[in-house]
Amino acid sequence: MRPVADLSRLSPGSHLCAFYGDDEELSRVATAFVTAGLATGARVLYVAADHAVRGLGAALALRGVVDLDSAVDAGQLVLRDSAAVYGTGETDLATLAAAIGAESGEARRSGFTALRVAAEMTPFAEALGSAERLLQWERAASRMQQQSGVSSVCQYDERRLPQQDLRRLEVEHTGSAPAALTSPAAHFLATREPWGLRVVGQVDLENADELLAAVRARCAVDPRVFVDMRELTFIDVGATRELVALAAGLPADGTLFLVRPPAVLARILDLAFVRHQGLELVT
Amino acid sequence: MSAVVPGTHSALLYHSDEEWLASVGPFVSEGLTRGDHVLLMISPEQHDLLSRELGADMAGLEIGDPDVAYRPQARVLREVVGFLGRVQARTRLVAEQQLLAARTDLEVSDYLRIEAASNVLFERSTIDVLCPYDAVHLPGEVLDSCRRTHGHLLESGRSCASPAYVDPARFIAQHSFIPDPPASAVTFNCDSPQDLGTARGLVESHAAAHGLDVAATTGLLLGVTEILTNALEHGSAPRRLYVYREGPALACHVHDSGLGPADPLATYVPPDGDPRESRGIWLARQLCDAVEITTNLTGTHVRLLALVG
Repeated sequence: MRPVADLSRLSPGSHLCAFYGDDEELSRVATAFVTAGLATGARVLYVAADHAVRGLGAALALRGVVDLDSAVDAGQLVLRDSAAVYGTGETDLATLAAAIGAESGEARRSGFTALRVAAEMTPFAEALGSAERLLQWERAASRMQQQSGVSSVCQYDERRLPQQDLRRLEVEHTGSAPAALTSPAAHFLATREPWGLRVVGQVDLENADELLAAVRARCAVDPRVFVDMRELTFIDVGATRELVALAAGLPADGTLFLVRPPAVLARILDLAFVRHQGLELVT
Repeated sequence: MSAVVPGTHSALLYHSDEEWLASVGPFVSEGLTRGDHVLLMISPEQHDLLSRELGADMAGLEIGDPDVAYRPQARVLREVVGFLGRVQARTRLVAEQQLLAARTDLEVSDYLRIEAASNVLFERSTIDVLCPYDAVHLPGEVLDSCRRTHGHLLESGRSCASPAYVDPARFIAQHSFIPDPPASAVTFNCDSPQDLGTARGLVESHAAAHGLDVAATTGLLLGVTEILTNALEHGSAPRRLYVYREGPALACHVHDSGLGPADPLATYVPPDGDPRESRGIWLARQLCDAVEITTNLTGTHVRLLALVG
């Protein structure tokens, strides 16, 4: 087996695979991958059949941090039916790769840190009709993802593919995807109205870079960004300093609004920093 | 152009209001005569005492809030630096921490280290500081330390060099002993940034168990995060957090095997610009009741103390 990837620290361009034996396993892997992606402020494209999407919705509701509908409303979670994406199998593989590369650029232009894709591949494998064509696709996808920074998990039904094909598929991926997600220290979730980010959890040396990347991605689209801090339970001095620096570097019409920050943030600002006009506390 | 005369740091060990006034009165009025800006951080009673002596001249003085300036004690240097930033003229400051006689030994030791370190700040500023100490109510060791941490002593308004004065770095090194954590201490290995959240959880549960209020707990959590972050970024493994009761305080003791800050004195003085190395410890000083730091053969030890109850 390929090494199991750490979803909280996934390097860009990771191309993971996961073989499932039943629907529950399919759902668990997809949910872990999608949740981790949403938590980093990435756009997540989930290519799956309806029942799998319902499974994801239920699993998200159980976690209680983000629900499916609001992630979809914010444009952060994009659901696509596998049949619509893969077509009949006559699709030109280069065209498909180019389309995913273009989606990656579109995700960044829309205020997300990156594009992550979770895909139920079995229908595609069957539509392509030959193992050789499938392996050819996976090889092309690895190259495209390395270039564009798209991370993905390709899910295959191990009951419907021959063992030898599964082994050959495995080597075309950089790792395997876990069936469970250790809860990340914080979730950075995109919001559309007001434009910005909702932060849930704790921020320190572990994930300050992630927060900054997520805020920067929002600022790139609209420099008036609202960071909802109601569910932020801790932020350290370093991360606060970087937010202050980011706000100071915004264009003249830009403002970083920190909405309902926890007491710890006000304490840090009082201690160490001159408030810049690009930074506004909303209490 | 005349050379800039460096600032001075004097102590007055007084036994009565009369002795206090006989030195503070001339120190203040001489400053006013010379056109210095004068700031007082003294008690309301002392303020009245001085008013009777100076009369209308009191109007030219700036009055600081000693309650703010010494909570926590290390804040006082931040107040002084803020004051110097606002005032361009040469400055005189009378600073007497009223709470000192009621402080715990842990805090008094920390205050004396702050007094020693402040010489570095005053020497490079144009400020003359007078620190009156109540010689009746403060213990003899504290008064001895005053003589060792102030370059000058004032008696009946006359200034003389303190023969006991020692180099601040040496004084601090001599007064920075941190005992080994007790066997009963809760120990946590902090080897990666992923451990910081768990470390805070540990501190938070002990803070709650010891009845620390929200502000004190927040200060401790921020301080511990800063020190552990320093250990992760500048120190070396093993990096450990020990949490235990130390007399009247909850102690969060961080040990790493690194060399510690290049200049321990710099950790007392507010950073100008962005000297990242010493900022974490300076911040912790603003957030906790006392901060101790020592470097020895085992590495660097930083101990944050939050008074309980």
